Amino acid sequence: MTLELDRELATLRAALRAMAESAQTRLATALEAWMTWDIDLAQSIRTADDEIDQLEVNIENECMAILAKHSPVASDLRYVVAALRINTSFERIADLARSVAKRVIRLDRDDQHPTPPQALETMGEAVKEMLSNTMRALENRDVELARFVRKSDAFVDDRNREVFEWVAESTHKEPARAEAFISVLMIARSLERIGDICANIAEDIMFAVGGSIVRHTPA
Amino acid sequence: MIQSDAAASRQHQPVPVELKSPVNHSSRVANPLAAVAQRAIDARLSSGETTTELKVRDFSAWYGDFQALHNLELDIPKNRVTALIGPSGCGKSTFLRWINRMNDLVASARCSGTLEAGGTNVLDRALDVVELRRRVGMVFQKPNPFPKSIYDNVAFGPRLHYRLKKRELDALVEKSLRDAALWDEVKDRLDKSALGLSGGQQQRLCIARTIALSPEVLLMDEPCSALDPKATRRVEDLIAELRNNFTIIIVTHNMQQAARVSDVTAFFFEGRLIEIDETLTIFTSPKNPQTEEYVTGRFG
Repeated sequence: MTLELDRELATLRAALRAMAESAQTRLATALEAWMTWDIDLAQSIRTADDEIDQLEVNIENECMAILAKHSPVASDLRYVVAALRINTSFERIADLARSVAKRVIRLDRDDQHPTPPQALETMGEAVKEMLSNTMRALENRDVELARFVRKSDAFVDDRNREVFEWVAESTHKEPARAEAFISVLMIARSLERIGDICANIAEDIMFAVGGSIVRHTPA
Repeated sequence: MIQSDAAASRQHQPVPVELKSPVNHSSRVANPLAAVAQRAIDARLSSGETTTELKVRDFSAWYGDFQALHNLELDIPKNRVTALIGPSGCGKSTFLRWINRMNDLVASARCSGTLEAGGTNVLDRALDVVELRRRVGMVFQKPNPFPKSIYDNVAFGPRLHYRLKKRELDALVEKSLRDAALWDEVKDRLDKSALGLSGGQQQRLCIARTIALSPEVLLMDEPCSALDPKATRRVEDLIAELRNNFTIIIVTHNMQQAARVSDVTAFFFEGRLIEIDETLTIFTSPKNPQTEEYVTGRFG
């Protein structure tokens, strides 16, 4: 038994979970700020980035230490390789949540808050659901749930297209407010990318658990 | 821990090892550069087409009443390095010792089944075992040079098997020492005792002594376990160089060594072959849970 390796893998799992929860909180906060026009809430995300950056560095160091000290193989190796990628993915999700918050702040400067299309709100909910499913799949090494996350991405992409159409139409009607509409589009784009990243994480989970590389194959 | 249903899944079908690229997703690779790299890997692995050197069918072996090996079925590819791994007592060394009939020296040892090397029935009672051991050479765990000069250690086998002129013998000794990556270190003291060499040098001398007879197969029983890391590295580098010209079968307890030096890995447990596959597959995605537990150090 290599107890030390098991201990370090458990630490890595816990750190990755903390990273995921951090990203999840950030996304939820950004969406709440957006729905309620709570600018203080939006500001709080803009400024609190150190924690997640530090977590990302710690996780990377932890992975390198495990590789160097234990030369893991088979499922252990796949988990560490996947963890390195998943780590970056969560960090990007946190970044994108911050972009949403920034857009909300910018939109707030618009004299009249635009009423976004229903599709954008649906998108926000769907992406939150995707992220929470992704985290559960990671926690429980659930390949079926990971596969479902991959499939859900298409739904988010469809809503993104609807937002795009709404933005195009609105800009046509009220060209003077084009800047505000573009901010709405940027929010949709950030959410759409979070969906993509969740799908990437799902692929990494499928690799870590099952050993097959499903990237570049249709969901 | 071994379950009986696992026993059912490791039965006697021959296990052909196809040397394809370990992670062959060439059809899915999106990046054109990756596709080029993948093709290069495919070409390297498929070049010099793999043929079977050692054919093993329904092979079992006993020491007295104790059955050490159970119905082995495997093909060992020619001019590749095959690593045999498994916990102590799993039968890997017994198997290795049958390949060149070292077990003839053990009174209680007997076997059944088929064991062919390059088409020759190794188990044929009428077979000339001296000739077999020329064709299937062995390197042992502890370097065991003869208490003779470096030159005589290498010349010993050729003198026994061939009639060579002095000049030809000199050339053969030099070539063997060069191929064993030892020449530069010993060329000025060929007449000195081999026992004065370091452990790592002695092991490379034993390899030179074996390859001087142009064997087809090199059996190595934990060839680095008595060596320090630097000497281990030299021997591993040497294995990498020799793999193109010899079929190498290496028994090792060092998982990382198996992963580094071999093309194919076979996992033995309690006298049975549990899994044989490309080394990369064994160490990244083994199919059998027992293999997984063993290579990750969780049992055995």
